[in-house]
Amino acid sequence: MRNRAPRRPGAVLLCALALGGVETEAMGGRRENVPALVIVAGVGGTPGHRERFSGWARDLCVAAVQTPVPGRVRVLLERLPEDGEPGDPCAPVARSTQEELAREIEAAAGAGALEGGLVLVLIGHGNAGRDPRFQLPGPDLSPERLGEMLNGFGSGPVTVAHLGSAAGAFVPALAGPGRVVLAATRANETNETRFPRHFVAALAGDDGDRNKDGRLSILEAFDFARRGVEREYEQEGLLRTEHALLDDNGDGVGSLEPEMAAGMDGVLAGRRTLLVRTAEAVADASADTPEIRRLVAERDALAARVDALREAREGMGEETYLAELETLLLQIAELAERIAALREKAP
Amino acid sequence: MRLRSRGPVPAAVTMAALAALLAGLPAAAWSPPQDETSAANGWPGGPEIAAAALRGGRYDEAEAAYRAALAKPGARRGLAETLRLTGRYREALDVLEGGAETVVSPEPVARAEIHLEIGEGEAAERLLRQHIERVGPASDGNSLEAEALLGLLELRRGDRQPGLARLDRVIDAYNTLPGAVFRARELAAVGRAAAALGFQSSGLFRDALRVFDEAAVLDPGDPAPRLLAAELLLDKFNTAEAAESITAVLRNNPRHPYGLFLAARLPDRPAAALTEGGEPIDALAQALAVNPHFPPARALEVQRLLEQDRREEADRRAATAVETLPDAPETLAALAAVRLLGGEDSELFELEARYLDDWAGDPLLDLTLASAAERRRWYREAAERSRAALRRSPESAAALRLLGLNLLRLGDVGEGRRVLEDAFQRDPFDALVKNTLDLLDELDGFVSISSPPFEFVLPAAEAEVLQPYVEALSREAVDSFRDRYRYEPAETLRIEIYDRSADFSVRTVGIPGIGAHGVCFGNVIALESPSAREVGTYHWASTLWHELAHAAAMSLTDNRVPRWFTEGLSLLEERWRFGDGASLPFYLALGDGRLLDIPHLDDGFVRPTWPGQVGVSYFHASLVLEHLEREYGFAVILEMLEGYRQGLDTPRVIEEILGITPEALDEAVDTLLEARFGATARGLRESGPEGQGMPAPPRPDPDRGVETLAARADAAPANFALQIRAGIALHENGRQAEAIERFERAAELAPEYGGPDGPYRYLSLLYADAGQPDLARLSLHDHLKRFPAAYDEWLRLAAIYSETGDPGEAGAALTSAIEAYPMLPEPHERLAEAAAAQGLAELEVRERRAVLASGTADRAGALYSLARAHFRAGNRDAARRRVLEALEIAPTFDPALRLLLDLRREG
Repeated sequence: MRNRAPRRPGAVLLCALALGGVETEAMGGRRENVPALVIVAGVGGTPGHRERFSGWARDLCVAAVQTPVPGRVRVLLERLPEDGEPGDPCAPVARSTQEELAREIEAAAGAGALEGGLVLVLIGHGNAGRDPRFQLPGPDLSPERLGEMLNGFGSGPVTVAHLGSAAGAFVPALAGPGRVVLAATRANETNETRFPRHFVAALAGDDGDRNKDGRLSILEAFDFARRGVEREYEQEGLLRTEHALLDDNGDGVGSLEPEMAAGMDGVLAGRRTLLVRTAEAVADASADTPEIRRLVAERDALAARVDALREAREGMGEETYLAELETLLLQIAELAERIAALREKAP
Repeated sequence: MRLRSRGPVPAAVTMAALAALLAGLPAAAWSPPQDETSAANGWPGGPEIAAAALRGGRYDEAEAAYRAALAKPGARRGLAETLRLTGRYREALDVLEGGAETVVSPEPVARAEIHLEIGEGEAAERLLRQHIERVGPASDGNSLEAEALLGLLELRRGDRQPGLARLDRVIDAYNTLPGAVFRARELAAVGRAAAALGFQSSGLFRDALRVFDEAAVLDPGDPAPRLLAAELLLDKFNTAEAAESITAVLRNNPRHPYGLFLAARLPDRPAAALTEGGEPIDALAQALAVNPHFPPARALEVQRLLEQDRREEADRRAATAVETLPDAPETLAALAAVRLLGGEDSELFELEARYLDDWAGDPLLDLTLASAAERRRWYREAAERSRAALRRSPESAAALRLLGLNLLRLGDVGEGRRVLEDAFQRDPFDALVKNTLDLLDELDGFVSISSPPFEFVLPAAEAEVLQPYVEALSREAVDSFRDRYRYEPAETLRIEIYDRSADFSVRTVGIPGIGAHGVCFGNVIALESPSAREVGTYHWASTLWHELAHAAAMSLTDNRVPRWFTEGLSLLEERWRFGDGASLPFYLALGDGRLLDIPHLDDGFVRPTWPGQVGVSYFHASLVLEHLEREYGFAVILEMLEGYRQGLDTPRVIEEILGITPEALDEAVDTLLEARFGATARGLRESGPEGQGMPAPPRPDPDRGVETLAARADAAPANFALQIRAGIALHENGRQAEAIERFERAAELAPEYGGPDGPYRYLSLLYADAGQPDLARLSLHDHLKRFPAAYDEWLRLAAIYSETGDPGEAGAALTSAIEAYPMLPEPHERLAEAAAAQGLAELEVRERRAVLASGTADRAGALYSLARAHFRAGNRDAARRRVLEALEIAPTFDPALRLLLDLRREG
C-alpha cells in the first residue's frame, strides 16, 4: 500500500467527517463549494496494470483529501482489497462496475452536490472503433450510458476526465452545457496512456497551479499533464501516440491546446476549481473583517483587469502594455501588503 | 522535349529519383539476339550453349564455343563481347575487324563501343560517323544507336551544340517512328540520350528509365538496360532501387564486371540485399578478377586506396592502369586524383592537359578531383574543382551538387543554397540535393548567435538553454587547444546544433541515417542537440569538445591530417576532459586479433568490415595517440601534425618523426594493449560465445536464470561480462551480498570497462543500500569517469554531496549532469539553489534562466526565481521585467508582488 506524506501538514485537514458532504467547512469557518470526486479504476487486465490503476486512483484520492477543503471523494476499484486500514478515507467504497458507478453518481447528485458539481475520473483501458467502451468489471461502459448516468446533473457543473486509451471517443457524447470533458487521447489512439501519471502529479504537487492562486483549475491540471506527456515523448525521442483533448464549450470537439479565450475550449475549465491547494486561497473571504474583505474584493477586481489587459495585449505597444501592467500590479501588491498587515493584526 | 509514351511497361525498374548522365557510361553489354541464336544451325554444341555461357558469366566456356564456330552468324560478335567483358579489348577489336561487314552490320557500332570503353574517342567517333553515313541518319531509324553514342561522345569531347542536337534527333526518331522498329539495344541508346538531356527537362530522367524498362522487356536476357537504369539510380542516390536492378542482373550472371562494379558502389545496407542475407561479397575485387582492366573499377579501387590514405599503393595501381589503357578517362582521372592529393602539381597539370585534349567537355576529371578533395576534407579545393567541372559542362547537376555542398561545409550558406537550388532545378531527383535544401528550409527556424570567433546556429526552441553552455564549453576548448597546440581559429567557427538526428545526418552526408553524433568540416561543426537522443545515451559536451579538437587538427595540417590520427587525437582530448572507458566490442576485437595495424587504421573508419569496427577504431586510435604522448612527449604530436601538413603520409610521418618503422610502432602499441587490456580480453573467452555480449538480466524465468548465470560466472571467473550479468541477476533477486561480490570481481577484471552497465554503477547502488555512503560515492565517481553520459548518476552524486554538506562538489556534479543533458530543469534548479546559497549571483541567474527555458511546468515560479536572482545580482531592469512576466501569469502571487514592491521602493 502506497502512502504519501502530506506536503503541508499545517494546511491539511485529513478529516473523514468532511467527506460526506459537498459544502465543506474550510479553515477559518468559511463554506467552500468543492466538487464531489468519483475515481474509477477499470479493468487492469494484468496484475501490473491493476496495481498501477489502483495506485493512481489512490494517489488522486490522497491528493484530494489532503487539501484544506476536501470534498466528497469516492474510490471504485476493479477488485476490493481484503484488508483495509480502518478510517482510511481513500479505501475503495465499491467495485468499479457500471451499477456501482451509477449508484455513486446518483448519490453525488442527491447529496446536494449540484452546486459544487462532480468530477468523475476514469482510469483504465478504453476501446476504440465504432462501439467505443471503457473497460469495467462486468459490462463495459459506453459513452451513451455514461451520459445517461450524468443526466441527473442537468447543466450543473460536471467534469469527466477519461484518462485511458481511446478516451476521445467519449467527448462527443458527453459534451454539453456546463460540462468539461477531458480525454487523455484522441478517439483512435489505443496505446496505454502516460497522461494519468502526470495528471496525478498535477494534483499532488505545487507546480500545476500555474497562476499561484492556491487553486488548481481543471485547465491547469490538464495543461500540466499534457505538457508532461509531450516532454516525456520528446525526451525519449518517440513519436507521440497520445494527444489529450479538452472540450468545455459544448461543441463535442475537443481542443488540443485549450485556453481561456472567448469562444475557445478552456474558459470553463479555467474557472472551475479541481481542488484548493492552500489555506490562504479559501481564507480570503472567511474570517476576515469587512475591511479585509473589501480589500480582497478590490484586489481580485484588479487581478481581473490584469487578465483583461493581457487579452488586449496584441493591439498595444510593448512599453505601454508593460507600464499599464506594472501600474495594476503595483496596486495589487500594495493591497496584498495591506491585507497581510490587517490579517496579522486580526485576533 | 519528352519521350512519347508507348503504353504501359512492366515495372521491372520503378522510378523514384534519377540523375544527369552526361559522361562515360560503359558500353552497353551485348547479348546474342534471339533471332540469331534460333536461326543458326550447325554450331558445335549449338548457339544456345555459347549464348547461355556468356549470359551466365562462364566466359571460358563461351569463348571456346564461339571460337569453334567463328564463321557462323553472330559468333564473331559473341566472341568479341566475351573478350570485352574479360578485359581483352584489343583481341575483341581484332575479332570484330576481321568480320565481313554488310551495309547494316552492327559491327562498327560494337567496335566503337569498345573504343569508348577504353577511352579511344577519336577511333570511336570515326567508326560511328562512317556507320551513320553508310546506313543513314537516325530519323530513318537505321542508326539510332550510333547517333546516340556519337551525340554523347560529342558532348564529352566539347562539341556541345552538335552533340545536343544529335541527341535531340535520337529522341525525335523514337517519338516519330513506330515502336515496333526498335530493338532492345536501340531503346537502351534512346534511354542514354534521354538521361543526358535530363537537365533540360527533368521528365526525361523518368523517360530514360521507362525506355530502359522497355528494352529490358524486349530482351530480358540483356543485362545492359537494367545496369544503365541502376547507374542512373545510383547517381541519384536511390540506392535501394539501384540494388534491385543490380541484383536482377547478378542473379543471372554473378560475374558480370559492370554489374559487380555497380554493386561495389552501393552503400552497405543496400549492398547486403545483393546476397540476400548471405556473406557480403567484395564486389570490386570480383569485378577486377573478371576484368582486370575495367577502367571504372580500377578507378574505384584507386579511390578507395586514397580514402584509406594508402597513397603509394594507389599511385602504383593507377599508374599501371594508365600504362595498360593510356586513354581510359576514368583511370586518368584517378591518377590525377593521386597527384592532387600528393601535391604533385606539375604531374597533375600534365595529366589534366592530356585528359582535356581528348575530353574537353567531360566534367569527369574535375568531378573526380573534387570528390577526392572532398573526401580528404579539402573543401575549398573541392569547391574550386566543382567550378572547373561546371566550366567544362555547364549543365552538370553533379558539379552543382558538389559545389553547393562544399560551400555549405565552408560556411557559405547563402551561396551554397543558391547553387543547390540551381542543381535542383536541373535535377529534382537528386536525393542529396533535395534533402539538403529541405534542411536549409528548416534552418530558417534556427537562431544564429555571433560571438567571435564563434557563430552558433541553434534550434530556436532550444537556444536559450543551450547557448550559455555551448559557448562556455567552446571557449574553454579553444583556449585549451590554443595552449596545447598553438591553435588559433583563422576564421569564424560556425557551430550548428540540430535537434533532429535526421537533420544532422542530412547536414553531414546528405542522407538520413548516419551513426555519428558530430562532424567537423574544418571551420564548420555540426552536432546533434542533446534533445535528439535519449537522456543518458549521448554526451553533447564531449562531442562538441571532440569536434573542436578536429577543427584544431585540421587547421594545423591544412586539412591533411589522416582520419585515424585526428579521431585518435580528438578522442584522447575528450577522454582527458570528460573521461571514457573501453567497450566490450573493443575487448572482443582485441582478443580476436581484429585490431588493424596503424598504417591501415583508416580502414576501420572509412570502410569497416564488421559491425562496431568504427567505434573500436576510435578507441584504438586514441590509445595510439596516448602511447605517443607518453612515450615521446606531447611535442612529438605537434611534430607529426606538422609532418602531415607538409604532405607526408602515415608511414613516412612515423619514420621521419619518430625514427622508427610503422611495424615497430605497432609492436610497441601492441605491448601496451596487451599490458592494459590483454588479460581482460582473454578472460572473455573463458565461457565461449555465451559469455560474450552485453550484460542483460535474465528473462523470463529469473530464479532459474540467476542460478544458471551465477554458476556460469563461477565457472568463468576471468570473464567480466559474465560477472556483470550474474551480478545484475543477483541484484534483481535481492541477493545483494552475492551481487556485490560479482560486481567487485568484474571491476577488478576490467578496470577500464566503460559501458552504461559498468560494475561501478551497480556497486554505487548496492553500497548505498548497505549504508556505505563513502564507497557509494567513490563507486559513482568510478562509473562516471568511464561513462560520463550517465545523467541520473551525476544527479545521484550531487545529492550525496549535498547531503554531506559539500556544495562545491555538489555543484561540480550538477554541472557535469548538465554537460550530459542540459534540457531538463532539475540540475539547473539545484545548481541555482546551490549558487544562491553560496552567493554566486551570476551563476544563479544563468541557471534560473535555464530552468525557465527548459520548459518547467511552474513558469510563474521560475520567472519569479529568476527575477529574484537578477535582483540579487544587481540587474534591476531585468528583475523588474521578469517579475512582471511572473505576475502577468499569476497576478496574486504574493512573493512576486513583494519583490515588485521592493524593486519600486529601492529604485
